Amino acid sequence: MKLSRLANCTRNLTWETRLPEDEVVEPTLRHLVERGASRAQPLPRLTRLEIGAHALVVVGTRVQIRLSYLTPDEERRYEAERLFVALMDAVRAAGLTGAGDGRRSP
Amino acid sequence: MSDAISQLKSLMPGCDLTFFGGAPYVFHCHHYNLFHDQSVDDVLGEEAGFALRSRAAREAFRPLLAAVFDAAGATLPVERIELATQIFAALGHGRPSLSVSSDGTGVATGTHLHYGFAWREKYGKQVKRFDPVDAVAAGFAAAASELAHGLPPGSVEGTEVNCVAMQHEQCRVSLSRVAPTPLAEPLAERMMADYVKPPQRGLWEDEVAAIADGLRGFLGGVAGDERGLVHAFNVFVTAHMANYYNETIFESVRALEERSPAVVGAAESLFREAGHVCVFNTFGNIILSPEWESMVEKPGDDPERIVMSCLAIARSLGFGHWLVPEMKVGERMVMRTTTNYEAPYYLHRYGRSAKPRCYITTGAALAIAVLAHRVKWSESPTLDQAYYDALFRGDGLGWEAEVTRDQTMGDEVTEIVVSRR
Repeated sequence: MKLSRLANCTRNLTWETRLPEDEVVEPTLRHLVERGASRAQPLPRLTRLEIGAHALVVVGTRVQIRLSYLTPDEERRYEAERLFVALMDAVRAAGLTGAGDGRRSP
Repeated sequence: MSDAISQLKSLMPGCDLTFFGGAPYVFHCHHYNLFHDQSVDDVLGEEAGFALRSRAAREAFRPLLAAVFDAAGATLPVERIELATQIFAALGHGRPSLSVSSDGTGVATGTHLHYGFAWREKYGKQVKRFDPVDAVAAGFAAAASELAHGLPPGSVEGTEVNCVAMQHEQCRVSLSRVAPTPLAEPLAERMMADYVKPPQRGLWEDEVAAIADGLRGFLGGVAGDERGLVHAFNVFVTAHMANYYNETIFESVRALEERSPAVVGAAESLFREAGHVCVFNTFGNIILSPEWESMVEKPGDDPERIVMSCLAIARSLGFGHWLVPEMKVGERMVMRTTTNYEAPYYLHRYGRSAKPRCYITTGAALAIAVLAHRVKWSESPTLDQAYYDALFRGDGLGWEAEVTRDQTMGDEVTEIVVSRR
């Protein structure tokens, strides 16, 4: 799994990664919910997990990490990486391999 | 928002125009909003630009607030101020704190007003700003104060004295009394029949209409958070009064036509470019979003699919009934509107124009063709300023737009032919 920053619009607020395979998605989301995330399905095929002030938006294996815009600039990368690590942990906890060591894009 | 107030929202069938309390409204993102306001200031100068923007916001919000107060049965000033604040926040403009005396004077403060906060997010690390940006909040606060205390239209003026874009801790708008100025009668839903035309079917019509309906439904559930901001599709979004955008553009251009006709073309180019900014940022980020992937598809590189997507997005944002009756990939695209949000305002306020005036629609048509043909959507492009510059500035454009018909000139439709250079 690799974490990429979307430079599209708001500075360092939106990041993306992909889960290794379709079968990983549901158990990973369930694990995150067990760890306290709240889950909603605002659209068909799209799941939104609220984790603290932040959100993970999941469609297929695509996961978009949306940080709260209140996150100070200097903490945004750290917060994104923290959520990414939590996501990888959830993949592993779901009994699946493929999360790897986690890499961040340049 | 209570049911009584929610029911004030309406969609004009076949026209893809949206109204709140009878006032036309559209969705725009912070990139567009900041570019729009900056363009007004570039044309008129900061002081006159702020004055026009503030006045236009006051005039645009008055009918909405009046309708909301009426629907809610709010008669006390304190009720009206509270309700006005809630509406402003629900629309994504931020949640100001308003403190107003019975004579209409007072202050409005806020740490997360849309324009100031978004400006700081976008430019704060690179640019030092010396002028406030929240003319919309200033105009809104003036309108709320007038209506809360039954004061004549145009009798309260908002002046922003502190702004987070200028690195102040919070924005602060001072409200003072001024001699009432007569308002132009605002364009409202009940007058639209005079200006809209029957819808036409374009290419991919059924799919465009279905996607627009779906996206419109999704947007209907989007509202400001506890700070009154909407952070969606990777941008800050506002539901905004169309009369505000129209008054500020048309009054700027007309002022220049009186004073400095030689440079009118430059101003018109700026406002057409605002259409590029809108399509690139708002449309582009919607297409790249997980929500779009869920509702429609993962974007690919077929230009026709991108054009179809953009038409659906425009309709869902309340921009009007946009269609493409003819397209030859790689060479030519004809975009037409039987209704757009610009022309009715112009015709209502000024009568027929001697030249095309649908600036945003024209700029958007060109941008749609460029995004459809030049962007590799399958590679998840980064829609940042550098990419915008590469696509739209210098020699990068590669496409040109010609307005062949324009509803502000009395034509049945607005039509833009976009061709490869």
